[in-house]
Amino acid sequence: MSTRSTSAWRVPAFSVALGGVMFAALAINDKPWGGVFLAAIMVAYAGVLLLGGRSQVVRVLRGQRDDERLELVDVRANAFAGHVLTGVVLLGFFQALFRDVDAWPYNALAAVAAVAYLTGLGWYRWRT
Amino acid sequence: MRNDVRELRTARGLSQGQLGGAVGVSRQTVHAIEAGKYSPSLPLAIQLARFFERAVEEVFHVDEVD
Repeated sequence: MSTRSTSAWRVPAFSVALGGVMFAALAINDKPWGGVFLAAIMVAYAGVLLLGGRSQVVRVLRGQRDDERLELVDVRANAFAGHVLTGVVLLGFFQALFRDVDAWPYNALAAVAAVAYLTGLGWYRWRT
Repeated sequence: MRNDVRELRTARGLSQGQLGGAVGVSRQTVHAIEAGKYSPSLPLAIQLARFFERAVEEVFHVDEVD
């Protein structure tokens, strides 16, 4: 199984940058303190990643999947998150159907999930 | 899949961390392999077998089904 790793600084730096974008987005809309709050969350997250020590969970979050077992853990965690998200989207879609209300954005999200899954099936079937 | 990694490691007086460092995986991965919770990839299994100077099938034993 192939492994990949990245610098310990890259993901934390990206998190801080995202916090800056969030702040800018809210500040533009006259909600600077909301932007400060979101940016603070992203900075705190970056701090956890940098100070996470030898935690394997933190290593995966930092993108340092240089151990084949961690690579597998990351793949399985992504699949689990995908299943949970798909389930929530479908629940939202069906509740809209039962309530006879507009199913947006659940219908669009479900379509994106379906296309993404089929694309992944085709791609990885072709590559492996 | 049953394996003899723990016995081979302790016979050489190595810690899990030392073995992990020798074959390029974490201590936790070595522990998971020894506990039977994780089956290593073929390249890693071969690495481990070569480290212990054994054949792969002498280190890892595929469960036989009755």
